[in-house]
Amino acid sequence: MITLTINGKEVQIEDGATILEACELAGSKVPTLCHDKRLLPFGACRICLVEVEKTRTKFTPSCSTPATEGMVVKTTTPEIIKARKTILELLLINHPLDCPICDKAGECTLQELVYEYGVSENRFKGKKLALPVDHLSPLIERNLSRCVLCGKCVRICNEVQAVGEISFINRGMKTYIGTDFDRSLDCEFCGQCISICPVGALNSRLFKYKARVWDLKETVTLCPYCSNGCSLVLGVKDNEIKRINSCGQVGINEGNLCSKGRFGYEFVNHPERLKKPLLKKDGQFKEVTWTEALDFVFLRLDKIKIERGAGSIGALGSARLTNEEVYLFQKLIGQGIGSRHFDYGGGYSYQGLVGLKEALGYAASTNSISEIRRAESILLLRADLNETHPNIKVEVNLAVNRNKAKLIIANYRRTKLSPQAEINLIYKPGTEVTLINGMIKVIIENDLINKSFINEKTEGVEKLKLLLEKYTPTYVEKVCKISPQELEKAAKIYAKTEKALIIVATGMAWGGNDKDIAYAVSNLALITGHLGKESTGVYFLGEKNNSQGVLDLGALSRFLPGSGSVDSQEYRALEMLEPGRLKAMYIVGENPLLTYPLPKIKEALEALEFLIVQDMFMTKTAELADVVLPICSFAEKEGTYTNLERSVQKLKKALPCLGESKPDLEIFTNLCRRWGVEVPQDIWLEIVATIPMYKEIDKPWGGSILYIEKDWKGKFIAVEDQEISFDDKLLLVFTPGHLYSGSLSAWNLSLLKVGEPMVEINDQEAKRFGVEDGDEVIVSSKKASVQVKVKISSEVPKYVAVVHLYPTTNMVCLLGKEMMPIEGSIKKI
Amino acid sequence: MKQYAPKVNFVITIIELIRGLLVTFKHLFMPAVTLQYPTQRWKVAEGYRGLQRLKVDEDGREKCVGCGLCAKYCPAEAIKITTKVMDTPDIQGYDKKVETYVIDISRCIFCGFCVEACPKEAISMSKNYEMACYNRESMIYDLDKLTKELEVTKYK
Amino acid sequence: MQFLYDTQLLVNNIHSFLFGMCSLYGLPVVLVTIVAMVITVALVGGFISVNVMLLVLAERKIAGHIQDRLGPMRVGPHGILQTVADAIKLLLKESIRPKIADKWAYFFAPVIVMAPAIMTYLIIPWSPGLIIRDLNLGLLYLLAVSSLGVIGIILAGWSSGNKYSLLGGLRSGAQIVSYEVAMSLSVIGVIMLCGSLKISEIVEAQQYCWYVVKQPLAFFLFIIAATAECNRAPFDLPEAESELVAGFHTEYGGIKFAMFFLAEYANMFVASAMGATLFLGGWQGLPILGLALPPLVWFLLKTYLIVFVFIWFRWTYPRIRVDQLMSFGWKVLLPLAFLNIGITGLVMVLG
Repeated sequence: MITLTINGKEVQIEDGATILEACELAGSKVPTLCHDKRLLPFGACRICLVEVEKTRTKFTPSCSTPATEGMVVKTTTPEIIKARKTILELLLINHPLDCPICDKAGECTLQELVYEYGVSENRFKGKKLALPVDHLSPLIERNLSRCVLCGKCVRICNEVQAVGEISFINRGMKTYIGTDFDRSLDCEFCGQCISICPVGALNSRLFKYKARVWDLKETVTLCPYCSNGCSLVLGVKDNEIKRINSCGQVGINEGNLCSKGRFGYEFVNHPERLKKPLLKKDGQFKEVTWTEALDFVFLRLDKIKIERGAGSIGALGSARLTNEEVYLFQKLIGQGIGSRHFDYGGGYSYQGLVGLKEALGYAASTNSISEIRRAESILLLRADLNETHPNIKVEVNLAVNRNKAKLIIANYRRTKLSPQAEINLIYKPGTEVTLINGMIKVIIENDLINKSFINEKTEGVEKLKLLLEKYTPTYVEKVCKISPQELEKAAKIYAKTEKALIIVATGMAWGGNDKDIAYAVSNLALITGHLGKESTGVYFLGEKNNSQGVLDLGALSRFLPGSGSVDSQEYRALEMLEPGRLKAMYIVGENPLLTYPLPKIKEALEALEFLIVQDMFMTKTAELADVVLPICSFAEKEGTYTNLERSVQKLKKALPCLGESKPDLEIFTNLCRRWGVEVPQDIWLEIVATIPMYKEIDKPWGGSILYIEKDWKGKFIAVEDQEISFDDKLLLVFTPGHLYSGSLSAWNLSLLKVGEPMVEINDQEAKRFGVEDGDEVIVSSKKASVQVKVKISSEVPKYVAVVHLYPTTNMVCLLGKEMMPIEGSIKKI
Repeated sequence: MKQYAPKVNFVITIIELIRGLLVTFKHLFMPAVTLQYPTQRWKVAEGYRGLQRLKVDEDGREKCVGCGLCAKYCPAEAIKITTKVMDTPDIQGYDKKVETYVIDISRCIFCGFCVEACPKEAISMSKNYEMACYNRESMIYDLDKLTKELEVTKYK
Repeated sequence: MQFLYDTQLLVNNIHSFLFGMCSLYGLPVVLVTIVAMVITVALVGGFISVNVMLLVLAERKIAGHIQDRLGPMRVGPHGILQTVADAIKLLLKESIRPKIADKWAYFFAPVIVMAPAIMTYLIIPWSPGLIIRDLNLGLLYLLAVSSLGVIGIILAGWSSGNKYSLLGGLRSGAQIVSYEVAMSLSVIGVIMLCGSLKISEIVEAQQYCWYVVKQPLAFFLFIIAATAECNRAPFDLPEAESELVAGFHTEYGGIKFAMFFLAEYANMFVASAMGATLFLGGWQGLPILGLALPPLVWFLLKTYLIVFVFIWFRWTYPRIRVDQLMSFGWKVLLPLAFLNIGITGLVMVLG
């Protein structure tokens, strides 16, 4: 810790900090233009100049100079003020006087600085640059003449997002920020550049001219998309969300957002949102009042319960429900109706976490999100983070770039993150367990195991060693199609580093062997002792925003001891939807017709006597329902979500519910009361009483790092791949794509411009099947077939066809109930 | 109670009474100061703050660019503006179009702050003070009402 | 227009014409009387109405101009038909009665106020011979009948069931009664000079010299007392708009109020008519500038002059407080009246 004096006040700060950070600690505010907490110091704008005694230079840039012991710093002197004024005048030579029409007015750093320093006249006269405005890029508008060349957009795109779409072009007075060859933007449109630009040079096209910043009422709430649990700032005017912004001071995401989080809000005010409950009379939907709808629901369900028994009623929840809603829903189905048929996410998307529970103890990731960037090696297994969890990708990127971490990507195709990786293991789809087992064998062979850890904290290692005898690198090569050198290198990197992480993504696109992967991955972590320490552990990334919470509250009830074999196969979602199995179903927030891998799903739903669908839009499943109940979106209700690092965070209501839609909580409360189930005034208290881990919010339950207790023991569960084949047939696999199942994202018209239904294949495969880029083809497996467009991509290896999920057709039924990569063929139309 | 009787000089009382009568008599022949509205109307001073007018430039377009400063500055929150993106930018490359510009006259206090705030001198206050109407809806002036000249009813 | 100059002749002619008609057709003589009565009533009623209209308008217009404003201008050219509009409004109003008001007293009070006001028109000398009834006790009749109005006012105040009306009524009663004394005493001087109570004789006696010259003090006292009699400013406390709501006629609206209103202005006309008759020479004209106006015109001119003076007083002077009012009436006017009588008597005895 070093001591320095700032404006006469002494501060203590750790070694290596910059003068700017010391000034912040001392409470003296130093203005900056090109500095951001997330980025490395750049020193481009020279506004942050301070005067340091006994230096050679008159002024020192405080953002890029490290503080040293005994420095005496002055942040405001008449010369500094004059210097800052001159810098602003120089910037204003070219900056057009667009304030009345610029969207940034009101939060523009340049505006604030010019006002604060009173720059009313410009001594420098010059012709203003007339650089073009980029009107062609979707979602982001670039107004090049307003740019002050601070470089923040370039740096965030490079350092944090690892995309590098824009950069400085030319030198000197002719510098401007642009893309290569001045094309329009073709990146992932995360919009980070928009939020970090201090002036109005980069603007969101969705928000353009819709409202003035000072008219917006801002509410901090949570993102409804992935399980990262980022905090958003909703800007609301006239009961409409006009824009979403990020705030560096709140939440866990440090102000970083992805394209879905930032631009995916149009579904909230979509004209097709349901506003009134609908009842099907004579095959037509008629709008009814809530009392009528709920009376009808209660009477019919009760009748079915009495006549056919409670076991003929099933319920499908959704991982987008808040914790309170899931808890109440589960109570309604379990205590009110008395049925055990309750599931969500197809029954398979959370099996990975269930496997983790059996092996390690808790059905959750083991460490927190902010530790990822301090890891020394990261194994990404079957995860395309750019598509599913962009903010985790940011963390991985920071680890690789700032912490010199070694990234091992194991995927069946090259992803956008592949250039960052130390090793890319492109394996045959469906053979993850073999791969991991091979890695463990290499580690055992090379004696890189952590013997003390294994002896004290684990059990069952002998059985594992027995099973792994046949997993030699040559065997693995035959099954997974990975060379032995790569395998060994990857295994050694993982085993030798101290802080090693494993990240696996789960979701609706995979799931057949998630449990086995969980066992295998925990074996790998246990055998090297990479658990229970900072930045070391296993992450299973849930797909949706409350995947973790729903698992903690809803499905956990299955695992209460003494409740018998609740976790039997017949209560799973896919079994529930076999035709004729159940008589009535209550589906909340899911769209099984489009997202469940059952070819006979339509018959199953039509065979039901009574179908209730509770959703925001009229989905394809809702069209077959008898009662459709409208619910409100995330911005219109209160509740809590649990993110993947086990933090429970609170939602805040920013809008009144659209039309007559209600939060799920109200509907469930109403139905619970009719069946005599007691609903407490504050459900949160009851949840905390039932699940004591949920006592504290905004902090990971169980602590940031799990399994640090002395008396914990992990289990080795030896597992193998279920089906192993050595042949070379075309395998169909899925990638979730940017929009997942489209339950929310499909309704954002602007985001839909990015993507269409397609299958990616290698050019060799294309030649084999005689198709070309852009052709319409039929992809078929022995379960089903769909029509898509072909895209030839060199990132996809031979024998693999990657089908993109798209929200208008049911693609998953190609894989069938097993949800494993399946053999398929492509035929040109 | 003791009756308070001030000392009264009789003569002076009479004289004053008669003087009072003469004053009123004099006023009987002085011209009345009544302005018979609406046949006679009041001439307002220059710089009088009446109804707002949105100015139009030589080509017939409104000068207002929709910056929203008048709405922000208005102490009574009487001005509401919404803007939108024009499909084709105009000559100078600007594509901000004012979609609605509404002044609620029943809220407006005619302080003239909006005129002060406007960076484009697009709004000014005219001399029109006759805005009375029969229902509240007519007191919400939108863009066309504010740009065109209001007719003044003539009375005989 | 010659007949206007010789009104005595006119009346006689009409009378003889009527008698002749009667004897021609063999109708009873009493018919003449009836016809005469009907004509008289119609004329008097008509005159009162028109007169009130004119007076109200005149008051408002003069008040306006004294106050540097215009008065009513909208109804009719320069607001001439304003009173007509007011009258129509009053007549069309709903007649309500407070629940606690005494029903019959409430109903009859305006009538009791109105009746004496109209009855005093009996002895007004419009023109030589044009008096409805030239009673031998004309002046006494006038003083007696005009006192009857007080009963109506007190009854109105009492029967409204309103404290303020009661106070207004009682104050008015006290005021009128006290100033009645002063008025009567001031008139005695004139009676002493003339020697008779007959109105026409009093007018005849002023042929060469109006009594205002011989009795200035009496004239002065009469004017003041008459103002108080009519409840006009500065003595209008009983109906003071800002002190007692509207005094004794607070609870009255519509036709009943119209009657009070009518009564007040009728009274005012009569008081000015009496002032003109007793002091300004009645229908005697001034032989100045060779103006040969008909006596009726002279009479109306003088009467309206005094009305103007009343209006003038109203809009010049502030209201007097009730105790000041009473002390003024009893302690100033009464002694002055006695003084006047004394001086007149003395002068008459000494030649």
